[in-house]
Amino acid sequence: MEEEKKYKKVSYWSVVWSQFKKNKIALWGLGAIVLLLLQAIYSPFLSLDVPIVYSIDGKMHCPFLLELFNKNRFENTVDILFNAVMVVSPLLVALWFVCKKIFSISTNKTFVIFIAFVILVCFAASIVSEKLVKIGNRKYKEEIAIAKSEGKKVSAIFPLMKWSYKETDLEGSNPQAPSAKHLLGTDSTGRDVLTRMLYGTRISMTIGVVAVSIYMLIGIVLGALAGYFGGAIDIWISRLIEVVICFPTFFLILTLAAFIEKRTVFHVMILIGVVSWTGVARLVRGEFLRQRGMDYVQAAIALGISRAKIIFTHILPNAMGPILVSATFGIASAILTESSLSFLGLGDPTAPSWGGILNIGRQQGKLWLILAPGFAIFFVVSVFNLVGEAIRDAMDPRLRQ
Amino acid sequence: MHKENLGEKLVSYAFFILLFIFVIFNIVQMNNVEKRYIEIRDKLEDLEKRGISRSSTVTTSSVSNAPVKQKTTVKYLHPEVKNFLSDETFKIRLPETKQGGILHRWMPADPKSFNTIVSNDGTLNQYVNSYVNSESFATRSLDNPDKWVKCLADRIEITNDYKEYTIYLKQGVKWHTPKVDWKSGKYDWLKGDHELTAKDVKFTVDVIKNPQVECPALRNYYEDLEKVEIIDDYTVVFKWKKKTYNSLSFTVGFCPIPEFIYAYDSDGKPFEKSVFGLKFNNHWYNMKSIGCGPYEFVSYVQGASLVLKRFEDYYGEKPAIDEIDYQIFPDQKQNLLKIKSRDLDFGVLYPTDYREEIMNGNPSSPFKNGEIINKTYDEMVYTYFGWNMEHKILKDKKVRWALSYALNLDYMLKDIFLDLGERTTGPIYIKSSGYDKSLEPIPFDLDRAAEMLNQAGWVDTDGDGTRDKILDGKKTDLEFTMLTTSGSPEWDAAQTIYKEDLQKIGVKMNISEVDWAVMQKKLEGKDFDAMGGAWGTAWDADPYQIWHSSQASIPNSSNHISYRNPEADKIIEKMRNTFDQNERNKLSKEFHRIIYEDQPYTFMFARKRCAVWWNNLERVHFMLLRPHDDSRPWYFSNDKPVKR
Repeated sequence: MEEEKKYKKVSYWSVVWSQFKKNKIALWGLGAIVLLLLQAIYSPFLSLDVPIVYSIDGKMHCPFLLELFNKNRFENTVDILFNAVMVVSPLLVALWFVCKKIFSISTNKTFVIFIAFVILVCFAASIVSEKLVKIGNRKYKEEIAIAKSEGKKVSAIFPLMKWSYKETDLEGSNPQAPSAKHLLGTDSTGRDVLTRMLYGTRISMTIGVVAVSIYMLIGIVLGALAGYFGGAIDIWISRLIEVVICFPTFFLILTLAAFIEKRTVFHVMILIGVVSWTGVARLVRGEFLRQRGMDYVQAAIALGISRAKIIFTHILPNAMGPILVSATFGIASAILTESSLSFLGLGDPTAPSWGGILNIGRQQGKLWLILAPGFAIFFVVSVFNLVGEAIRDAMDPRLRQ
Repeated sequence: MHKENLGEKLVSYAFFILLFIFVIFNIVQMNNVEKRYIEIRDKLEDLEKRGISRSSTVTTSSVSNAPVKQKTTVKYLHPEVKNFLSDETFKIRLPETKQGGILHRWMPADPKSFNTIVSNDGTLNQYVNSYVNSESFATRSLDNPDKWVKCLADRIEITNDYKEYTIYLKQGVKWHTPKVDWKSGKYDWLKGDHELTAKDVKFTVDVIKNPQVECPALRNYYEDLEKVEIIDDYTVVFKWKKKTYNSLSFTVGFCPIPEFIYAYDSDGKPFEKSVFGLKFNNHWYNMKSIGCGPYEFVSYVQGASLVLKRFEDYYGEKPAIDEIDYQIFPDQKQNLLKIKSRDLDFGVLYPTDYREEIMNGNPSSPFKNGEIINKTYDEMVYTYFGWNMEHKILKDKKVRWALSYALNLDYMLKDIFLDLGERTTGPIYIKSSGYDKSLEPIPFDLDRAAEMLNQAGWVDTDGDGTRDKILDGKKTDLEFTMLTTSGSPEWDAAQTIYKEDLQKIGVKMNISEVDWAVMQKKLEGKDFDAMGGAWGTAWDADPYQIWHSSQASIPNSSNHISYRNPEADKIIEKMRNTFDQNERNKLSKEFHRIIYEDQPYTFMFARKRCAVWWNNLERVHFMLLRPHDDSRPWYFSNDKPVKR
């Protein structure tokens, strides 16, 4: 019994984690990423033009929950999705804890399945609610102001700021300088910059994750096929990679973006995904070439296990390390690419993207419109790069302490 | 196993063979291209050697003194007809103006060709041609553009049926001296003074009518011209097949080119008739300019400079400024810097620079302390949102009016377009006498817009925030897509505000920003709901091209919104046959009112631009007509600007 305790089973990922933990800056970075995610998810509590609760003459109204799924208020699907996450995930987390207490299951696998389940439920919730929720375009702030002027008893609890990210405030001469009303001023059409920055986090995060997922998927599948089968397949896929590499990525995206008529954030994600898979494909191909000759693969082949199973359940988990590192860097570069696109006016014209704010700032020559998004982009990109670097170092056996 | 290997090998062999073929193909192509390149380069070098070596040119001394012709007395063919032309009342040169000085200006792009017949280049027309070779029989008066005043012609007689025009040219109008290498002796055949005569007029008409010459648009205007007769050296008759207003403006505004240079090749041999057009298109003098205007062409260096000098033998009022020196560079920021450093005396600011320097400028900067003067002037351009008249929702007039009421133009003009514009209500140039000033600009009124939509039957029945209506048995949301070109911050902002305001009254507007090429394609194919754009106008423009219903069914036409109104058609057709200016103005106002009531466009602004100049430049006067920044009346009061 004592022997067993002494030599506790140590998995590869727990070694990596313990190495990672030694890098303090990277830990802060990881914390920052979690905070950014939370901020992205809970933006409506930070700024929205809908009161959480309000009462007129003792009659309580609570429009907040339904408004979260109002297509007129949140015109980007990204926002509705994040709102769904905001509403659904606390419930599911609670559910999970209950299940854990009762059934006492807590392995890594169930955790992954649980996360997948949460995402699925959120997707479903956002799609269903979009169809179901049909409330017009009510102006709560005006309604409350009118009720107040009529001498009714009114009380309301608003989010921290009372702006929606697309509401135009035409009362002053825009762009307005930072003031108590607009903490970071407004842009050229009178939209609150701080609110747009907050919702911009959602756009950046989604771009990073989705675009990288798309190109990871393409890259892993093609790289794995090329690496595992070799021969003619390898030749063709490698040539394909070379052809795609020949085009300068950013200019290819620029050209393609100019020809999409109604650009949305998803178009930008797909564009980035479709164009930048080559690096991953080459990485995976190399890793597969190395692993294919190893004993465990030969053993699996000898056992007559199907090819698909060998590729995806035997070799791929062992090749996952470098892929993960490149994915972390990929997120940073995807966010940067999207910002550059929006900066050049080729992003989603309605989305509150940081690059878009920066572009308006450049046109208007206003400091707050340049500094705020510039700093946000710098911060997110460097945080992801820091974490990526730390993961790479943690995985490198030569640097192990 | 063996078979598989074979297959793989075959595939890779095939691949390499394909690659090999491509490589060979590529090499052959490259070879051809190189040959062609060398050919063109040699030609260009040859041209340069012959032409632009200005330093060795001696102009005035080598011109022989040809005997000056005695002025002949002219017999009028129709002495009973009143002269169509009147005298110009605007004085180009005031008696107290000081002569001299070099005006430094900016030119954004290189001209492709100086040949006015073959190339129709806006930059060139504005900066060079209007000084060098845009002298026509008559021009619209600078004071009152409704009147035609004498220019190359002293008298024009028009018969009652408006089919025959007799033009009496001024005598003693000299063409500029060609800028060629006189020393080489190759150009001796060009020596001597050359006078403008009826021959040049006939020659120009022949050139335009020659199908080989690349000027289809211009030729189109002269399609109905039956013939041109030379009566004597200074009298020409234009005979037209039909009576149209266009024939008047294209006869009176006819601008001849010199035969003595354009009919000959560089050795002085006349072009053969069979290949005349082709030779003319690539004429050896195309990279230089010649005419009989107040300034003559001196030199042009590609991508660097273009110099014009006052023509001392000019027949009319000579301008005060000696030389106009254009600097050619595309960059707008550099333009601003050069104005600030006084490398340029005069310039036009872009909106962003206008905001930075004039609106938010530092009080000690030359723009603010009076050293650089600024003034806005009207451009003949209006901006608009156009509604596709064949769209199932937008074909309803009430909807279009509601959409016009929901556009907050006053705010946009003030905050987004920086007051560089004026509210306009119709397609007529706002300063022209055909513009009906009694029509009020449509105010911003969301309540009224909502009410109009209710009246038109658009109500939000399902509570989703967007109005709907049963159209053709199907429930349709009040939703449309606005098509604009990407890259203009002003339009971006205007659309964002419009979209928000429309949402308040339950209208859903999507924004589609595309490349200019894509936009053009969509407009040509009429594949859009609504669009934002701008049109250039003229003083007395013919609305046929944009508004006549016959143009609505033609692909690639300018009537891309498919506007059809029989009443408007009638007026447009009547205008084409009306010659009395008062009558024309009345018709134009009527047309303006019909368009206003139909609201096929929501008219936004007549655009303005801001010009700036150093304060030693005096009498900067902006013309009602293009080019608005014509520098002929300007003069320098001092060598250096006055410090304030």
